[in-house]
Formats: sequence, structure tokens, C-alpha cells
Amino acid sequence: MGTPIPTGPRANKTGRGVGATPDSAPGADDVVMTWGIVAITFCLCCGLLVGALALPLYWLPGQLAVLVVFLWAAPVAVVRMRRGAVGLFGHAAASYARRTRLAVLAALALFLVALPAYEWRLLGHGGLTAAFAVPVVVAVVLGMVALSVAGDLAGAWLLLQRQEWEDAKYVGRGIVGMDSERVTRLNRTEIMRRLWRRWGAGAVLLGLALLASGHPLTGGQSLAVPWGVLALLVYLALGLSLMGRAAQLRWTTEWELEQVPVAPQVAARWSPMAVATSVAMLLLAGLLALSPLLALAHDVVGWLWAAVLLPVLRWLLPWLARFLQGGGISSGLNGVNRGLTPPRIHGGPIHPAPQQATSAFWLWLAELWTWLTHSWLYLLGLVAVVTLAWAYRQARRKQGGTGYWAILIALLKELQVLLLALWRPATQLTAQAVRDVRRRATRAVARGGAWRRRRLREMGPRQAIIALYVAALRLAARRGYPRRPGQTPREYAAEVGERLPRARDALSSMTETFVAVRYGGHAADDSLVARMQALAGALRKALRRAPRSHA
Amino acid sequence: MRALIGLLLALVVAAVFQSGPLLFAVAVVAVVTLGVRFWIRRVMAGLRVGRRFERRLFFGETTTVTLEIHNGSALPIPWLLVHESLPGAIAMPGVVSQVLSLKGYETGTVTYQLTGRRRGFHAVGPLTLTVGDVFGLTRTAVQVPEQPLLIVYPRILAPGELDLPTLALFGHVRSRRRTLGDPARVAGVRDYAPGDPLHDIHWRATAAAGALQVKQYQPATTIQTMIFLDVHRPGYTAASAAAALYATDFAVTVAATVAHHLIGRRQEVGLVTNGRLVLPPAHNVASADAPTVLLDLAAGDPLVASAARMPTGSVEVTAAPIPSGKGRGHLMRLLELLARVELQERGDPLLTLLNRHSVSLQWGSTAVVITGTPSDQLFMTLHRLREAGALVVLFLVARRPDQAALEARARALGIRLHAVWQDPDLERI
Repeated sequence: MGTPIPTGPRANKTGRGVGATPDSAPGADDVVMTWGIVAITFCLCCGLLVGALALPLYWLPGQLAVLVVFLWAAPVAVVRMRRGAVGLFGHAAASYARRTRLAVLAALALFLVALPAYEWRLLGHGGLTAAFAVPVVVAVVLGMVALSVAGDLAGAWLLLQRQEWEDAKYVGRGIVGMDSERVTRLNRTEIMRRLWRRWGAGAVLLGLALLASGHPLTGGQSLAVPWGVLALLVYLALGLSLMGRAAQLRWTTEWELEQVPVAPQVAARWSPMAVATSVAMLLLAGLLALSPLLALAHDVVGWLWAAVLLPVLRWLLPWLARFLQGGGISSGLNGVNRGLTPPRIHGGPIHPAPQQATSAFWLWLAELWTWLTHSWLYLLGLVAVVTLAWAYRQARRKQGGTGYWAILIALLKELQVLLLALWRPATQLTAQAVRDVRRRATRAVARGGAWRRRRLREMGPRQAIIALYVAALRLAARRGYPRRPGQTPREYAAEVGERLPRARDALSSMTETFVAVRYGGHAADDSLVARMQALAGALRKALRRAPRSHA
Repeated sequence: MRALIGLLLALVVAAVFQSGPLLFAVAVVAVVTLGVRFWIRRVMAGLRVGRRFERRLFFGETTTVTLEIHNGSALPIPWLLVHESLPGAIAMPGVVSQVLSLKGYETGTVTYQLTGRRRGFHAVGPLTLTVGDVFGLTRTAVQVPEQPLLIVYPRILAPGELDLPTLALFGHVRSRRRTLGDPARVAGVRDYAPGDPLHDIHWRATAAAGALQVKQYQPATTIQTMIFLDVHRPGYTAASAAAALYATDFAVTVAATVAHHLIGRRQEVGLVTNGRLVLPPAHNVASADAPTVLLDLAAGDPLVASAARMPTGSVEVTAAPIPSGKGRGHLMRLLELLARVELQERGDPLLTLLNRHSVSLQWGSTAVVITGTPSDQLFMTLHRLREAGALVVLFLVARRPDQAALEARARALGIRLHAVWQDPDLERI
């Protein structure tokens, strides 16, 4: 008989590390973070909903209210579920994850799909149409966003806390060595970076949603824009506050693991400093948004469009059209501004489009730009003359002689030096750009297969081995070889090995590794994880070849 | 990079459509991202660090190091990780870390203790300061290049009685009678050495030689002891390098104990050694420039006799002999040399040292020779010294099975021999 599976550590209720005071009421940090995560998710989804309202959608009576309630309730449930999963391992963790995932998806299907469908039918709108389907799809997408964001944030919050497997007794501080210690530590820097990137992306998305909401399509509405602005404000402020708390937790955990003494002022000053910084940053950004910067940027973009891009397009497109028609280069150049000009249908004068009053400065800038664009040939000539004069001066200085030939040769040499001086940086820049593009392309290709490895790496070796074993069990169960309740890992491996000789070696090796790491206190490292991955691959192949069992 | 491109695109969209909320969102992200970096950069530029501690320690003594970190900027520092690396010979564990938080223009202190557990030069540091922001976006570390030196003097034991022959010869030294040379009997002149009294300067000889010269009196009432310390690897035939290191370290302890004991009795003591002198470590110097820097350091060091660059690139430094002198300042000089002397693989053997420096020994002086291997040649050289009027004491830092035979032979040659290997051996003398 196998040894009884010990229960894992209790769920962390205090936000102060595993096993601190597990039975007590949730700590202030946990309460703040729970409701902070719920609120920030809700704000993000509501802001996106405000953007979605700009679409010409037909919302059933009460459908929006149900959606809003779901967007609040779903993050609450997800955060609690993620916290409830702390301390579960192996089968228990997999089973808990499966059950909670099913429950959440069922709630999503019930409230966001089935309930509107029932209402649609009650109202007698007939069969399934786009008018019904599109709002439901939007609602489901928003619901999925809420679930995903809340789960991600709650997971990050839990990961930032001290993990059981990071304890010194597992790490073997001073016994196994520094390398294993470094490998076993969770990469909290990456977690913080990911949180920051997602928060920034969420802010930009909210801004885009509000932009869309300000320009509704026909049939859409922009009545909820003030609510969207409020959601954006709350999202930004809350995000900064949560980032401050997450950073504090991250560093506190790191210092605790490194056994670095921390002065009491650090904890006491952190929150006030984070709040003050957040307020200062928000005020500064508000000032920037309210300043004439927006109008200035608008003007600059407008001038760039009118002075650079538009002329190029107006010159390039007709030339391309005529060139493709077989007119050749010369005829293409002659046809500038003619090819794409539509024929005038209505007679009479064309009324100019209403324009905003332009300042004298911008008019002067426009004139300057027009002059520059019209006299570029003269400018080029001027540059050439100045260059030649400079080269001549350099040649006179270096040569010393006054013969015409000597000066001419020196002049050519100077020009060569000048051209080389321009050519080398250009080639270096080009080569650098090519290398950069190639590296990014290689990374993009590799990223596809790397995300799974990265997830395993983030877990840490011990958790990765357990996760690989649990995944193998799940796959075997799907193929008809489930593990019975009460069956020890070794008994299960022996049973499957008898029924499936091809999988015997891989499964028994995986089982031994799992038992040694999970129950035997064996130190796990990256090489062991790699071996476990190889074994999992072999087991997967064996299970695919094996007939599906119905026993 | 991708984030920056995304922000720029969003900014362009906000500018094109003149969307205030979008610009606000982009501005918040950009302001926070750039603002915290500006903050940390400003703070790092204003950080000032100072260390206060006793630079010279006796063996076993403890000093408190106070690190003062001053935030010279008006901006506060949310957290500052102070990480000081220390040699294991003076601190256990070899790392001191602490996290502080400093307001604008505030000064924080970190204190820790160092204990002189091993003689020699020890560099304190390097100190690494890491500063981060409140949002966990950035952190910057800077290493303070300055590494002050701490010198730990060698161990000094408390011998019950050092039964040196000079004491026996003059009989009443225990009464602490002040013994001086006879100023009426000038025997010659020699170069001035720090600690020599000014009234002993021979001004005419100084003018003739172009350097300060002092009078040397005949040994009418002088009690002089010259310590010959052998720190040459062939002088210690221990089986292992570790045993040889231990033996030489103990030989240094014996020398320090003898010097301390005699100067405590107001006698004059000098020191000659063939060991390698350790120079202060040259930090933040490229490896190619290190020999040049070390040669420069050696040129300005009063305890260095010569410094030479070896074909391997290393710099070999030999210690300068310290002429006889007395007083606490002279003892400190002797102890500093003893703190810095290390086992020498090359260089002069003990016999060469004895032949070179015993010539200047005055009649009636005591030669205290400390070595690890008693050879026939050594006994013969010491016997010649004895016959020349010097009194010879040989400290043999070794475990010898034939100790009784050696003692008998030394006694026959008029040499007093003490075999020492551990602390009690010295305390029993």
C-alpha cells in the first residue's frame, strides 16, 4: 500500500507568506488586493463595454445589467478560486482547477448566452439572427476578458508571495550550492514586468475604447462616455496603487528569502510614497492631457500628412499607375496629379471645407515648408557647393602645393574620405538593422514553442515535475487509463504497465521521479525537469499508439 | 521597444482624433515609465557614502564599522539595499546586507563589526548600493570603488619568561634600568632612520654625504636584539603547503611576541626577514596596468627594500630590514611589517640573510633566529656569530623527533634552542 498523501500547506490567508497565521482572518493586504483586483478588472471591462456600445447593437432589456453584474461577480469568484487552490498538489490541484473552470464557464454560458436566448425567445423575435448573436458574442468576449484578467492578476499576486518550495530546507542553502538556489527561485522580476505591460496595454485599450465611444457608428450610442472616463481614471489610479503594493510584496519576499534585515521605515514609508507618487504622476499626466499638447500634436501630424506623406502619395500613385500601364518612366513623371483625380460631376464652384482658424506661426511654417519642398534642388546644389568648398579648403591645408593637379587630387581624396565617412555608418546601420530584424524574426518563431517551457520554468523545478506528472495522468485518463481513488502512484504505474507494455518504462520512470520529488524531499533541478519532459513525450507517443481503453 | 512603439502609435491616434482620454492614458503610462527612471537617476547621482572605522587592529580585536549613506537629492529613496562584501578573515559571514529607506537629504547608517582574525592587509568592501522605485519598474545598482584597507597586526602571545641570553648577561635588566649607548665613544655613523633622536645626528657627516647621518656609539651599555625571521619556503620542510603556511604564520607570531616582550622591557629591537611583503591591493586597475601600479605603490612604501617585476607579470617585493630601535612607535613599525610579511618561494635563504646582516651586529647583541629547519650550515653560522660576541637564540618552529639531540648540539655550540609549534610551547619558555 502506498503511503498516505500528506496534505499541502494551508492556503495563505494573510499575504505574509505560507504558514504565517493560516487560520486567522484575511489580512489587510489580502483584502485590499482581492477587492483591488476585482475593481480594476471591473473598470477595464466596463470601459471596454462603453467602447462596445458605440457599435450598432441591439441589447435586450436587462442584458446589459446582467452583463455588468457578471463583470463584477466573475472576478470575485475567480480571485477566491485562485486563492483556494493554494496548497493543493497533484490530483487535488488538477481536479480543483477542472471543477472551478467548468463552474465558471457554466456561469458564463448561463448568464451571457442562455438567459438572453431565453429572453429573445420570450419576446418572440424569432430564430437566431445577427441582431441577437453579435451582442451575445460581445458579452461573452467581455466575460472572458474579465475571467482572464482577474485570474492573471490573482495568480501573479499569489506567485509574488513566498512559495513553499522556495524555503531554505528545500533549496539547501549552503548545501546544494548557489546554482541550485538561483534556479529554484521564482522569477518575480518577470512577473512584475508582465503585470506592468498588461496594465499599460489595458490603459491604452481603454483609451481606444473611449475614442471609439466618442465616434459612434450609426445606431451606436455615446451616452456612457462619462462612465467610461470614470472607469479609465479609476483603472489608472487603482493600477498604480496595486503596482505599488505588488512591488512591496515582491521585494519583501525577496529580502525575506535572502534573509536581509529590513529597516522598519521601509514598510512604513512605502505606501505613502506610492500614493504620493501615483497622485503626482496622475496630475502631471492630466496637465499634459489638458495642455495644448494635444492640439500641437494634432497640428504636427496634420502637417506631416499634408507636407510629406500626401505629396509622396500624390506623386507616387499616379506614376505607379502609368508605369504599370506601360507608359515608362518619362510618361509616368509627366502624369503627376492626373491619374487619380476624379472627374467633376456637378458644375459650379466647390465650397471649401470649413477650416479651423490657423495661427500666424503655422502659416509661416507652412510657407517655409512649401518653399523648402519647391526649392529642394537649389538646396541640394547649395549643399554640394558647400561640400566642395570645404573639401577644397581641406585640400589646400594638407597639400601645401599650389599646382592645379595637386589641388585636384587632394580634392578628390577629400571627397573620397567624406563619402567613406558617410558610407561606413550607413552600412553599419543597415547591417545592424538587418541583424535586429533577423533576431526578432528568430525570436518570434521560437516564441511559439517557448511559452510552454517558460511556464514550466516560472513554476520552478519541483512544481514543474509535479505538473508534468499530473498532465501525464490526465492524458492517460483521457485515453481510458484513469487512476482510481486510493491507488498509489506506483500501483497505478504497475497496472498501466501491465495493460500497456509500451508505456511501462516511461510511466514507471516518471512515477519514481514524481514520488522522489513530491514525497521524498529529493532536490529537483532543471536537468530533472528536462528528463521528465522527455519521459512525458515518450509516454504521450505510447498512449497515442495504444488502443483507447473502455475499462 | 514594442511597448514604446505601441505608445507612439497610440499617441499618433490620439493626436489624429484629438482624443483626450486616450492621450491621458498614454501620458500616464509614459509619465510613470519615464518618471521613475528619472527619479532613480537623480537619486543615484546624489548618493554619498562614507565609512568610519579603526584602520589598525590587533589580533582578536574588534572594531565597529559605521557606513553612512547620505541621500543628496531632494527626492526620497523608497528602498536602498546596502550590500557590503567582506573578507572572511575579518568578518563572518562575509557579507553585510541591509535595506534602508531615506527621505530627501537624509543620512542612514549601517553598522557592523569586524574582528581581526588573521594578520595582514584586508580590503573592506566593495560596497554595492541598489536603489529601486515604489512600483517595481526599475532598480539600479552602483558599486562604490573605494575599498579602504584594514591592517591586522600579528598575534602576540604572553610568554611567561623569555629566557634570552642578553638578560642573563646583564643581569639586572628586570629592574628596568634605562640603558643607553655611551655618547663619548662614537664608533661610526649610519643612515638616519625614523625614531632616531635628533641630537644623535652627525651634521658634518650629513653635509658630506648629502643625507642625514646619525652617530653610532660603542656598545658600552646597549642591549640590542636583532630578530632574523625566516619566511622562505625551503626553510620550512613541512610535508604540505598548509603546514608550511601554519609554520610561517606561527614564526611571525613568535617574532611579534619577542619584539613586544623586549620593547616592553625598553630594549632595542631590530628585524630582518626574507619574506615577501604584501602591498595594498590595487583596485579598479586593469590587469595589464596592475604591475606598474604595484611598482609605484612599492616605490613609496618605507617598508619595501626592493620590488621587481617577474616574467610572469607578478611583482615580487622584499621587506626592508628595520634597524634597532625602541619605543611604541618602533614596535608598531615592526608589527606592521610582520603583519604584511608572507611566505616567499624565491629570494634569499636564511644563511645569506645572516651573513649579510650579522656583520653590523654589535658586540654583546642578541641574535634571535626564527626558522623551521635546522641545518648543519645554520648551526655553523650561528656558532660563528656566537664566537664573534653575539648571543644567539634559535627558535625552531617545527615538530622534531630528534629535539633532545638538537638541543644538546646547540648547547655545545653555545646556542640556546627553543622548539615551538603551538601556543603553549611559547608560553612555557
